[in-house]
Amino acid sequence: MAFQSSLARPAALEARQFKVLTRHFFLRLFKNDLVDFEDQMKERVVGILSILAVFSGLISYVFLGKYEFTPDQGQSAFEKMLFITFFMLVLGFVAILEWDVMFPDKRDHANLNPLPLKIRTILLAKFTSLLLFVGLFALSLNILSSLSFVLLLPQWRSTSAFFFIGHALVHFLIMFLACFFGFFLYIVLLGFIQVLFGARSFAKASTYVRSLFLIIQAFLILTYLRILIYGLDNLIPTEQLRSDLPRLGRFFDFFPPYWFTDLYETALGHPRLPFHGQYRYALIGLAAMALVFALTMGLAYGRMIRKDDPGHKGRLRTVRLFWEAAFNGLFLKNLTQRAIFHFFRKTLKSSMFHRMRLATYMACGIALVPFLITMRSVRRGHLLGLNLTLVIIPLVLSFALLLGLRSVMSLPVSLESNWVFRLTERPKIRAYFTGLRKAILLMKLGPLFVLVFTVYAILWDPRTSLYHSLYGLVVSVVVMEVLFIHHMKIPFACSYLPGKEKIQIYWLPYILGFLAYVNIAGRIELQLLESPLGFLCFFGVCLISLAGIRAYQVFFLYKRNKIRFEEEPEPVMIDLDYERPSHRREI
Amino acid sequence: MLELKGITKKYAGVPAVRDVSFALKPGEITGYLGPNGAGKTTTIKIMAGLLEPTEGEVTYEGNPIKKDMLAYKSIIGYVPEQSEVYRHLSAWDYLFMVGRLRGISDRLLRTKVTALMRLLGLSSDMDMAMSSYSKGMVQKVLIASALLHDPVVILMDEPLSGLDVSAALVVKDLLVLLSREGKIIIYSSHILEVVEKICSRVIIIDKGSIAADDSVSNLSHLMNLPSLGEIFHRLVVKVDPEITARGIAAAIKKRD
Repeated sequence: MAFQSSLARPAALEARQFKVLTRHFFLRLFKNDLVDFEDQMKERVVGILSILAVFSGLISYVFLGKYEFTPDQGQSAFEKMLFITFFMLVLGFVAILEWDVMFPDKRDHANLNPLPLKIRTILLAKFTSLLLFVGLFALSLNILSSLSFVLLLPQWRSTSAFFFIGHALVHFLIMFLACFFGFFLYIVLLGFIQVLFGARSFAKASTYVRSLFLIIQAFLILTYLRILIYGLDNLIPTEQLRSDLPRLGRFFDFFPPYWFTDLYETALGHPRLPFHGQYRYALIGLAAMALVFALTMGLAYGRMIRKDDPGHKGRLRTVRLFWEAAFNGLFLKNLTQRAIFHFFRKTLKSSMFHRMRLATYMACGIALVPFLITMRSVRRGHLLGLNLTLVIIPLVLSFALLLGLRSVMSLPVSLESNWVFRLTERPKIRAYFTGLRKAILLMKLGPLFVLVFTVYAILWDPRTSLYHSLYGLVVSVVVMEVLFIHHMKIPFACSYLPGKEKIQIYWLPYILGFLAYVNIAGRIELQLLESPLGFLCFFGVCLISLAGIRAYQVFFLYKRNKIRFEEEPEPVMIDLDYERPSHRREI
Repeated sequence: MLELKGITKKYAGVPAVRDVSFALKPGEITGYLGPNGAGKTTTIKIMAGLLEPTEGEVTYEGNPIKKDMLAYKSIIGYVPEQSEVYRHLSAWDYLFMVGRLRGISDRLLRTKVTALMRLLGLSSDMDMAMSSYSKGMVQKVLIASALLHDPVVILMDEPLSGLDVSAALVVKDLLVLLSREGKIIIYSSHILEVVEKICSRVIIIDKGSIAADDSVSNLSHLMNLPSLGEIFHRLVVKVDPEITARGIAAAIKKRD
């Protein structure tokens, strides 16, 4: 019988299932709720890996180029540590991005549970897919960077070809292990929290935990870039670091890149580090991580099998409806505005994908705050006074928020369902966009500046804090109007074509524009805070600007354009209009 | 009266609907039948103003609908074939959003939505995200959203899909009631028994073209066939279902 024949070769069948599942899980790492390479997956993955390869190759030469001429007498350990830190940071960031698909989820459970699969096969395939994924990144990070390590460093230790080959092998192995550690550190933390809280509580807290990790990661990356640009001396004077090394011993106990640096040196046979012995932490860490990962993944999947999430029912419905009615009556009299406002609010509340995208932008903004503070542009002892660093912080945060919203709203939540907006389209399209602006103002910018007021009122005094918050709010509203001036889309309801922002071309002007914006706006505010009457003139100018933008939209833009439900692709050929004589061109 | 005049729709040059013309009168439920891929959904989407025909036009009361599309859309109710709703919203939120976009006041919406949810048996689930709904529950929400504003023209593409027996009976009776009120109703379905029971007229479409357009009794009389099923089979189905079923059973049994 066929039934018997299929059971006759269980090992072969399981191996085949394992192969198919590993491939499936591996591909899902490139196409999930947060990361989606769509139809050009291979090209995009190759592109990202190439950028990482070139970048790591470049910084390896920046770090190690001097050893072409200067003998390495053990000081290369610092560069190795910095380089291992870079690998771990990259892999840590990737881990946070892939957060949702690290463990087999409900979707896997729903699709795989009815099939004749052993849990062991599913979990093993998942683990293997993650190993392959990390291996891919580790390979791209090493492919060019290892050249500097392998060609420049061994010559100062031995002229033996065996030592040279051994050095290369040790380098590759340690770097790969460091990558695995950097990646699985976050994953183990994720699993640990998930098992501790249970799937339902974790689902609610997931965004916040992930955002916190993103902030930490973004801060570390920025600090790393700072070291790269200004040198380690800019953060901690290197000489001081070297002379105080014995005192700093305890710090290195908790600094994984150092463990792996020690492992690197120990594997080469000539440990020269003052705290030699930390390599044991690296080995224990790797073993513990593999064990904890296997356990948490098994436990998390087991829990999912045992109980289905029943969802939750609305509580305190009457109170909620009362507040909603009061709020609507006060701020949202127009029904279309009301519909758009609540659609925006509820989509951001319930779509993990959009929430995480926004959290990523906010994390970058928040990570800039400690970065700006540690830049030490403020005189010692004056950090909490009126200074440019402290003044621009709300502007940085609001800009990150607005940019995030602009980006997130362009991504559809369920494109096939936007027929409902098409079918109910109203003639006065202005109401749609007013609803959107009210949502941004009341749901996002308003609460942000209330928080800003509270924090600065504690730091400074309530009056100065009030001026400061009002200034930030008004400037942010102007920025919002500028960012959304031609945004003729219902949020989350228009198709999306990636690459229209042309970040790969315009990234430098964007960064320079942002730096100019926060600097100029911050300096103006510092001036105005000295003579508060000037605020009135400033607010007047802002109001006139806003009225101008609104008049342009109402009398021109909205009259000549329709709501856009389909993003228009870039033209295949850009017409420079050369064929028409200039005197006949229409203005 | 809603009229389709010589409608043709091509996708990448391939016609999905060819030269389709018919008129729908108030107080009439028109059944729109055809096999998979015949062009039913395309026709209904064109009638809803969601698709632009390649050729021909749709008129309402003699005026082309594209002349004032927004005004036309405000009088139609549409139930799509696929359960395409924003599943991250609850039924309550979704219906409120649709109602507000149609200009219905919150007070009236509260009354209407509460009543509809209760009558459709969704009261206890109306605050849950629709991602946790069954197909039938989503279908009920779609039907409610199509009728919320008391439309004049009702376009239904497989409205009973996923509904349980009692809900299907309610919807059938509701359509009969609404047609008596003078509404224009087009009802696309594969369930021939329902069409036979509630539709005063039947249009059968095959490979994008109309194969028949008459009342069930007239078709039955003309073709000398006792039921709509047999008429449909004679006009549209070109293969013997029994032979196909045998072929499928044989394909399943194949081994390495």
